[in-house]
Amino acid sequence: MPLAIAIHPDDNVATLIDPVNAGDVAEVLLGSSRSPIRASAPIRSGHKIALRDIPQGGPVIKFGQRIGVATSDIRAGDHVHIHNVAGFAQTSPLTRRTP
Amino acid sequence: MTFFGYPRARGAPGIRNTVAVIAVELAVNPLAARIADEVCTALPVLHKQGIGHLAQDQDRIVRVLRGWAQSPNVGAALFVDIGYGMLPVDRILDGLDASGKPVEVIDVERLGGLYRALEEGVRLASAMAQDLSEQQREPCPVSGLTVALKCAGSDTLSALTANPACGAAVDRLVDAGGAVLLCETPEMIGAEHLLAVRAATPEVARQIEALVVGLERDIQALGVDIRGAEPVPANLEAGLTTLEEKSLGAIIKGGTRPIQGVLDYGQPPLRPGLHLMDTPAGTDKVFSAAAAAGAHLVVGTAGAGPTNRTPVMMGTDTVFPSLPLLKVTSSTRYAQDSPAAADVDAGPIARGERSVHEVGEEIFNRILRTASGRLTAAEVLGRVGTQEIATRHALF
Repeated sequence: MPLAIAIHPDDNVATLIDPVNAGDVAEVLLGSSRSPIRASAPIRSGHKIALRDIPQGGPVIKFGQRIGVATSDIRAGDHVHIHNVAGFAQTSPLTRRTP
Repeated sequence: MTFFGYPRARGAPGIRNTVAVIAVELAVNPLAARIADEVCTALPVLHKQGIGHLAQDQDRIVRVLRGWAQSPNVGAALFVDIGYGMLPVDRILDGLDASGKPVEVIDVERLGGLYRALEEGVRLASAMAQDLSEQQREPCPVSGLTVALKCAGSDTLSALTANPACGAAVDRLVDAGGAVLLCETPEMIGAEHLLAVRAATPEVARQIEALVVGLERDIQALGVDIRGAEPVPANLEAGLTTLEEKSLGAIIKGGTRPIQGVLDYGQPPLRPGLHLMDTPAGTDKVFSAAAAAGAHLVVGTAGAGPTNRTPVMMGTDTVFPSLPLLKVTSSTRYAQDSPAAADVDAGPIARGERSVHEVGEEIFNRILRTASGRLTAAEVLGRVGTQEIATRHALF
């Protein structure tokens, strides 16, 4: 089964160690716990998959930290990258400092 | 805990014992290169500065040139000058008296031209090389080591494999009394709050905030968007989405220990422990500052793309003379692609085949072996070229 790694319990994205096709189920590893996620699109290894729905304007969380904001509605299993996420330094620099 | 190094009259022991032939300004690069060519164990230290610097940058370049000579890995230094005066050699030498190592200056003008300067330079550098050749490595405490950190071609695995392993290794070094320099201010943007809470004092926390927010303000004041410059195309291709994501992954290589201070570009740390140093993200500019700050070696964590195909790293075309680069790869794919290009493979961490702790120990041991004389992949390549000193405001 393709492997994905989440870093922090608050994370709503995981990093794929293996590539997935649409419909593939990847195993998400968070510490020693494992859970499945079904990919909605082909995603390359190293790229991120959404673990939960993230509404437009909602924070994208990795390392337990906000790494950006969703620029459109993201569904669990979606590819999460520059097509649907913008960084805070890119949108409103100096104003992101609320962890 | 010890390694085999070259004890110095003052300051930290060296892990290399080079005659550095340092060009004071760019016009004498060809001469410095030729002198170093003629002398075994001499390396040319060349750069592109020398004209039209505002005071702030002039101070910085003078400090870097002095630092290069003071570097513990340099056993003796020969400055090559042409008396132009924009980077006054007297100012460079001023703070150098304390380092207690052989330092000489030749001046093309005073010596009456290029050929006389070449002859005098080769004579001086040869004598230095012969004197240094008699020095022996001796057991030195690990607490004397300073290691600088750099990541390049970062991918999403960097934050899962190479950077945590590097962090574990530098935690070991800090615990042993060594110093560590976490560089690259742009890649602290979005992670400064996590760095600030690790500051050893409230004053250091304030300096960390000021450093990172200051850079962001500078970029804003230019009216430009950092997007397009950071993350770089290779990062985006590899799956890194935002600068915050890149920064949060990048700081992991600095480990978990308290931050003892914030250093200006090329400024040596005054105490042991983890420090932040203000540098741009470009590899060559980081190496120049690290060498000037007294770093013994650089641990570089290398992610996707070209940075992993060669022993040097993305953002440079050369190794810094006498500053070994120890390269740690984020994924086994790259380590297998170009086995001669890397020193330690952190890839097996991704699938749990090896632990962060295990690879961290391997990196730490490799730091000690490199310090005792083992050549790194980048050093074996052996090519040195022209270095970059980062300036704030370029007029020329």
